[in-house]
Amino acid sequence: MRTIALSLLLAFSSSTVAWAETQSQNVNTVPPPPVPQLPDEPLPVWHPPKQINRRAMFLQMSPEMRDDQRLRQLGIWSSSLGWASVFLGGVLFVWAASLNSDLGNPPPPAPAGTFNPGIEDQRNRVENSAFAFLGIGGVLAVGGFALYTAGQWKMTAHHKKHPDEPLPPLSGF
Amino acid sequence: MRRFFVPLLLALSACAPTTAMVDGKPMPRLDMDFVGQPFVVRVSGAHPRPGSPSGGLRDNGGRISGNVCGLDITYDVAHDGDRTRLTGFVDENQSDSHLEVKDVEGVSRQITGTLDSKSGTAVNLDLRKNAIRGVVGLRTFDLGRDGDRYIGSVKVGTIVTAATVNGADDLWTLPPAAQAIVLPALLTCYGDELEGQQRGAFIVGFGGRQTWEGKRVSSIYHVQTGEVNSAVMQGTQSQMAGH
Repeated sequence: MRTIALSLLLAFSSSTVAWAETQSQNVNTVPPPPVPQLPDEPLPVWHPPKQINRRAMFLQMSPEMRDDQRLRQLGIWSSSLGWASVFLGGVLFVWAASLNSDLGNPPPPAPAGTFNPGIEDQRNRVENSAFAFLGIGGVLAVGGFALYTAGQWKMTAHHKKHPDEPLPPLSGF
Repeated sequence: MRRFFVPLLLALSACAPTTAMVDGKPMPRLDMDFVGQPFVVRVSGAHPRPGSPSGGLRDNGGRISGNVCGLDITYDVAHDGDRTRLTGFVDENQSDSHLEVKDVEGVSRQITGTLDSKSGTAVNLDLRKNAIRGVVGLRTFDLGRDGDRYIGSVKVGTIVTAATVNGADDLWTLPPAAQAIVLPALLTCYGDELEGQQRGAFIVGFGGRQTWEGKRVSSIYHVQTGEVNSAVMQGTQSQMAGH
């Protein structure tokens, strides 16, 4: 009698546990809709499509990773252009300084103290160009660095979420 | 094996015929791309008029390659009279894959075989104009047509959840050989959610905007995590209850 009671208890408890597990798992799922029951129809005969699709993208990495990589590349290019521009601005500034020096102390054969408005105009043009290059270059350099950092940050976040996905070159992982 | 087979396949495809005989006349073979959510495949050198996969045609059917649900696929197609055979590889697995597709009584397209022999993902699907039923690995699908989609359920181990395949009309724009690989591979999607975390719903689609899925989300990589573990747990519980 005790054996029967024990086995009944065990069977009941195990089935209850299984039922509870199923219920708890099904909480996270979506109840399936009723399956439409339509009569069978003849299978359609396949014909080549009238317009061949050429829009497909065969990617080596996920679109998210590709976008992040593009952001990084844009950042690198912008920053590179920015630093090049800053360098050019520096060269122009040195040239403007040299012209300014010539303006106060004109080289021979011009006599000392002679004012040449042409050199002043040239100095102004070069100096303005230098400031423009320095300003634009500075913005590009800082902006490019920010873009690169944002791309790398997004790439790192995506990689942490999907560690198995292929990575671009020099991803840092 | 793949190391030797893929270069051989590439070399053979370079020598693949560019025309096929249709009604005694040579016709150019077709190159087509098909996209969906989430897949992109290219059918290269396809027969211009394959007809039914069981229509009696005996010829080379070209090649199908691309990415379906994060799985890189490469298949050779052969029209073999009463059926169409596909042989190839899925992802970086060293094991090969064999699929067959045939029409039965003009209303049922049956896709059978092994999607991935390493994980033992068997395929037995019955594709009809108004229904998709069958098994892919440890999943059982029962879907009926509702407008331009198939809706119904997928049973994964102990859980049953809603399943939707959008783009029913676009599904039938794929040649039968492409259906035979894209549909089973697509039905392995959401392995990380369904098998791995026992939650979520199943939604894939044909046509429309191409989407991309990450690596190793297919259920062929999750056969050990969900169903098998719960089966082992249940077996252990039953054994304990029995003793």
